[in-house]
Amino acid sequence: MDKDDEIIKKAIVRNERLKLKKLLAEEDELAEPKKPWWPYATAAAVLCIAAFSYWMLNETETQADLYAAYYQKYPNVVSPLTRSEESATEKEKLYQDYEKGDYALAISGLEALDSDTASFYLALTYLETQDYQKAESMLDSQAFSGSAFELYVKWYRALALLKMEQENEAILLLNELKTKDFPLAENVQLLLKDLKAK
Amino acid sequence: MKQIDLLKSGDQLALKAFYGEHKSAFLFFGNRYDLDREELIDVYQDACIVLFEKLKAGKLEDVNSSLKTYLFGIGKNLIFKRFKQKAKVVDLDTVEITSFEDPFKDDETLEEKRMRAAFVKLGGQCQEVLRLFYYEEKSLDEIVSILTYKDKNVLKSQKSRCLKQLKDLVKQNG
Repeated sequence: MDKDDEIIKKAIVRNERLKLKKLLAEEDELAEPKKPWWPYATAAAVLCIAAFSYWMLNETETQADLYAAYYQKYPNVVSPLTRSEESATEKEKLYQDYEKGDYALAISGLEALDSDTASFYLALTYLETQDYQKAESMLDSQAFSGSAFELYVKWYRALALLKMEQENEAILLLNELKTKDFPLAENVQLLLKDLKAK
Repeated sequence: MKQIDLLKSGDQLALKAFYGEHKSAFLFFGNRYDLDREELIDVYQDACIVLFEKLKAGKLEDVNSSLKTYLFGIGKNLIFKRFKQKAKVVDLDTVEITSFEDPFKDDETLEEKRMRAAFVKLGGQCQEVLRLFYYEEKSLDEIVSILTYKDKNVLKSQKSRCLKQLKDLVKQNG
């Protein structure tokens, strides 16, 4: 390929890639994110920092300590609190109650709803109120299979099991998560490593 | 037809669907790295383009992992390449850098820019012949079959005419 040919090739390749890029950017404009992005980001950052800090300490811990080291509250990604709270619907307010820590209100409202999202947040609320038995039993449901929260359900269930000293069951779940494209995969690996080192 | 087969066939609608399907997960995954959202989206677009081109070129036949896993691997790789370009402090020894080409790695030279400007002014048939030859890297025999030319000699003449037109346009614009 002579120099001219190389220039032609580079120019055409770039032209095609720019066209693809434009096509994908159009897709972005059409598909506005359904849910805010930042709560996920915040959650991931906080969870990663927590796991990393724990790993740095590198101490032998009990299962309950491990729970404390790895557990972080899942963010309200349904209707995060904003300045315009007044516009929130009754349902949305329940998730905001969860976010604010008004767990009694959140529980009574979420219990009356029938959706995967409501059940997931109800279980999370039980975790926050240290009712691990109830949380674990809610998270142990096939209803979450295929839902957007499926992998998080397994993660929080594994943590609840750990808290209840059911280490073997927790490890089974973590091993399952290890093979998935899970945003907290690094935490899963670290927790498994810590459990092995105990 | 399965999604992977559509992508291999170069179906751009399938690419758009695939892009939308994994975008949120990629942004969540990529958020652990110190890039702002716009740049992360830019990387994600590039990763999808790399994957799409590899699939079309039949270069992913022996990949065992899922497309999503492979896509995230490419994305991670591109993120680290950007860090390297910006000389951000990353422990590259701990990162597996494989040979994914950054689709926009080189700055476009003035000559290339002029050539690209001329290319888009060519007629549709010439653009298609040259696109198949240079971008899709199809052989002349394949192009004869795709564009239903009478034979290879006719195609060769057409390609020569197109290249001449292209170079003339560059001169006119230069």
